[in-house]
Amino acid sequence: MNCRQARKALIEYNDGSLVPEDSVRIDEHLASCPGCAAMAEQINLSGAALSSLQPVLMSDAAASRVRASIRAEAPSMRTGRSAAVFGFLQRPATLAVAGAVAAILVAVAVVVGVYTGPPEETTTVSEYSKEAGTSGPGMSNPASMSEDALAPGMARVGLPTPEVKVSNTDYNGESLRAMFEDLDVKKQYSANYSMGDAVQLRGNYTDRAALEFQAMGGDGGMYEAMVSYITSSEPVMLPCYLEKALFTGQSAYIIGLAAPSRSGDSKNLNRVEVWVMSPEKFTANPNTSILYFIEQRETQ
Amino acid sequence: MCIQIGRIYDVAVIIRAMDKGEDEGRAGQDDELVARARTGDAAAVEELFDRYRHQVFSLAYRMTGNPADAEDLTQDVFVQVMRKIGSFQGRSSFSTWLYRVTMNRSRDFLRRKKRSPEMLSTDGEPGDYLMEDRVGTVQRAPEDNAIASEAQRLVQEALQQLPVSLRAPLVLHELEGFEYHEIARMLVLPVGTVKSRIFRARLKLGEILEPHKEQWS
Repeated sequence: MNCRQARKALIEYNDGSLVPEDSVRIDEHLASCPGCAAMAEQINLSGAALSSLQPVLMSDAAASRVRASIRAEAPSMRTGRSAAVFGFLQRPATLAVAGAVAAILVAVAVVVGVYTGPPEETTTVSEYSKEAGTSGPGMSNPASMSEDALAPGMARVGLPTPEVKVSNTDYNGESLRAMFEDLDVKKQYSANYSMGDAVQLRGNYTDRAALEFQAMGGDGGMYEAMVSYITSSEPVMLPCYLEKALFTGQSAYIIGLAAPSRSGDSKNLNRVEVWVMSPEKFTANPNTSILYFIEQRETQ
Repeated sequence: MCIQIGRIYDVAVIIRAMDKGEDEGRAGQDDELVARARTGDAAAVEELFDRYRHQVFSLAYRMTGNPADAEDLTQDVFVQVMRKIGSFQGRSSFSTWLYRVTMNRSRDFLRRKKRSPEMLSTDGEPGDYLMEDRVGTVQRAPEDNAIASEAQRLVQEALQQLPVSLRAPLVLHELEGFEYHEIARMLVLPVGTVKSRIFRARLKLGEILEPHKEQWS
């Protein structure tokens, strides 16, 4: 047995889970190899120390505090509320009543119109978009987000948030590159966000995009897992774009992340990485799920 | 559930393995609760909290080393569960998904804390957050308890000295009892990387604890 083979089996050796013949071979190797013997001692010591740890239990007082927070959060349960409302709206009886109500409302509107003239043109902007100023192109779609996605206090007024889409567009490398060349949200990120913003806002913007994506029928959890995978080696990246579409005929999540330039000449997020990931392959093995990758830099 | 005795497991480890919720009966009950939670039933989330609070808290505590932070993270995790239960598609068991959410939130928390040293942890008496003992643990004389407590403090401090990339797989494998392939899915890493990180973590932990090795002799 050589050192490499011995070291590979040291944990199992320490746990006593090797077959006796392999244990004997390790014993023989350790007797003649001081380097591996020292490693075996450290593995043995850490094993003993970890085994001595008692389970950690949450106290009842702490549990009560957390339970109270869960109850406080309960009224805004996104999925339950939307699922229940959606189910209710789908019932035939509901649809019949809704039709009747709609007819009455139309009739009332016509009558009111006769007496008051046509209403002035208005634009409905949600309270959130008024507060955060996110109603322009390249901004998030406030109408598709429910209140619990807003994370008050995190978004700053007038700044861009991730653009989220679900489409049937079938991209290839060239068309995707062209689309990102002109992407407005990329330019807005470069102009408005720095490295510090990426650190501070990354989690919030990932959540925000995931929730919005979920509301559009995408898999928000899958998107979060992909972002976590992509950013595990380079965490200073801020989600700016997400589209569920096709890439050369395959189902794909197109994920745009804004990042500082590699040269370190600017702290602005003037670089964008575009990851095209296959959701089907990601579940089996993330390493084989990357269909395409683009890196673009915004000229200063 | 079958527990293979390949090493000397103490009572606590066996209880922990049973607590993981991987036996079929428990998983079936989880499925029912998850289905109710998806329809907006907040009581179902509370039941899930009662079933898993110790596991989530324990993992958060082992990752952060601070009981107040662990409580905050536990709260954060279950709020996330309420918000995102719709995205849980049942490809893995609920308990595995919950551990993944806990691990992701813990890692995010530690990254934020590293970059923002002003983000102080709440101080408090450990007894405010931790339950001291449970049925099945060995009764000890007071002086033995003091030694055990010192040893546990040393191990917890040593865990905090490991980089998060090594601490996470080590805690999941050695303290929470997950298999390599389960950790690989949870942390989105190849199985070989998980094994090698656990090996490096064990070596590093042994190196850190070397000056106190008489505690475990």
